[in-house]
Amino acid sequence: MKIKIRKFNQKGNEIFSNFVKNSKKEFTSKKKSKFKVPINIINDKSLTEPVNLAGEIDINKSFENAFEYAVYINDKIKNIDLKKYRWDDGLFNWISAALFPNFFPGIRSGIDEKRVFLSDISKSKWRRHFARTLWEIYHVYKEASLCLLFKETNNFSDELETISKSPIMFSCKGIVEAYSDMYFKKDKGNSGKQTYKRGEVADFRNFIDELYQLELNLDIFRMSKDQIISKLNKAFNDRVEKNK
Amino acid sequence: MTLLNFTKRIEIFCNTEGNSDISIYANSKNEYFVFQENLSRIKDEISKKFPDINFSQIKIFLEAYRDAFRKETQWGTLDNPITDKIDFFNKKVVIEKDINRNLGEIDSSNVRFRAIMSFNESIIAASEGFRPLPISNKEEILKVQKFKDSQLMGVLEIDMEELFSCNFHTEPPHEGKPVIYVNKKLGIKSDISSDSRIKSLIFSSAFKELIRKSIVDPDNEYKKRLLDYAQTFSETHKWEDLKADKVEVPTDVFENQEINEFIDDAASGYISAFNLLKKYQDQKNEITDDLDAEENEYEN
Repeated sequence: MKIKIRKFNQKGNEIFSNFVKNSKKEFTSKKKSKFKVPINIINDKSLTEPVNLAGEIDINKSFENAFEYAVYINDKIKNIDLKKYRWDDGLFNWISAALFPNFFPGIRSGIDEKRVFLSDISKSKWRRHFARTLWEIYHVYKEASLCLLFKETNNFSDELETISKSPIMFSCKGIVEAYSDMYFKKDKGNSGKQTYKRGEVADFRNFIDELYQLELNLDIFRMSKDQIISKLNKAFNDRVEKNK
Repeated sequence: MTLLNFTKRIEIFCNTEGNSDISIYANSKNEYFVFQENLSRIKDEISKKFPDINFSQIKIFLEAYRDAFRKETQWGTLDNPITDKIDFFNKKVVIEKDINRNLGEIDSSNVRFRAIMSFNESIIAASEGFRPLPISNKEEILKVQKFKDSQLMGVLEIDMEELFSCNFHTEPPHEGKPVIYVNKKLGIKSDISSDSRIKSLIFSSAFKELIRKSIVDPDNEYKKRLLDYAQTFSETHKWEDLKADKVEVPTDVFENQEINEFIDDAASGYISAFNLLKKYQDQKNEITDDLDAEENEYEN
């Protein structure tokens, strides 16, 4: 079923917030494990507003991975006025509702409301929101973002956790590309796999620690991936070689 | 993890209450305006900490960001910073052209900025994230951006037998600049920074004397600039007319009524523009409060 993208108004956000809370209760009490799109809410003209130049989305669509979702939604909102909508909770809550089964329940921290509902009063938590953050990573880094988006749409991975807490992994193309060279291997199409395990020497968390050290002293935001990698110790450089 | 700062990175102060190194304003049309005419403190610190780096090799970047979305523009080098300017004499904002100052998808009401000065791969100086000062149009900047007194008069410590004096500097690179000389042994320069009362007394007195001396012989751009500034506070007199019509011998600058009016108006205007009376009073209150607190401590 295809619907033109809309945005929730304030009342719509409140109703969707209640829907999320109820879904959480139903999941916790084991009444339900699978959830449907709240069609009555997203279609209600009194709860929503049109978004000029937005495309149609298929609300029955499921995605192979977060990258596929991000490419899809980016195409549907590519013509809208992002100055107006980029930080619009009503738009991204509506998208979250319209593709709800793709995001809820989550694989990790499965019922955290912040993964599916953007609250206007806790903007610092916005990067925990699947529908918006996955789109934004792709919007900023396009093809280079595959290394961060190859997992399921409802998987709040270690990488997303880091991005949600600090912008360092998300603020510079060189860093994303360096991450890709060290910890990701592309397979066919838009799939791939992680090439490290947590706890290994020079794992992803070590990389973030190193970045914080480098960032204090060096202008990493204007560095290329090769410049960044050259500043890391041998264990990280070995990963790059091994990953080739 | 302990973070180690090897680079001696210097903090840039932006949009602070006192003497900002860089000031940024943003209007509701999503444009921003940058003033970096006050980089002498940064230059002094860089000269001390990085004596081998040429200012022309230090690039200045301004990052506008919201969340993880960043928009970056280079605003010249430390040697030649690109900056918008205030023409205080003609009361207008002079905008530097050829800089893309659109904030893109970020709205001016929630943008944050960060200033970075880098040399090759190293950060030499950086600011914390800060919000721009909101304005409805660029003319509003005139009311907020203050003329920096360092643009008019320098302060130099020397060995001397007086507390302070003023004159025109005799050595390059600022030959001819109005300067307040202060007693080095007594550390008056540092007292000026820490005590507004001392600054108020010295600056208001030196300002008057330097204007008087400049009218007698306005033979360089520094003096003319000082006189132009003084003239902004006079409704009736122009310094060039006074010089031409009223100064036949140097002593006329002490005796001529119109020249004295011009100087008095300038002094009042200067005191008012830099809030010297209020600063004096505030400092006095602060010291009185401290003394009261000390007395109360004994009483308790």
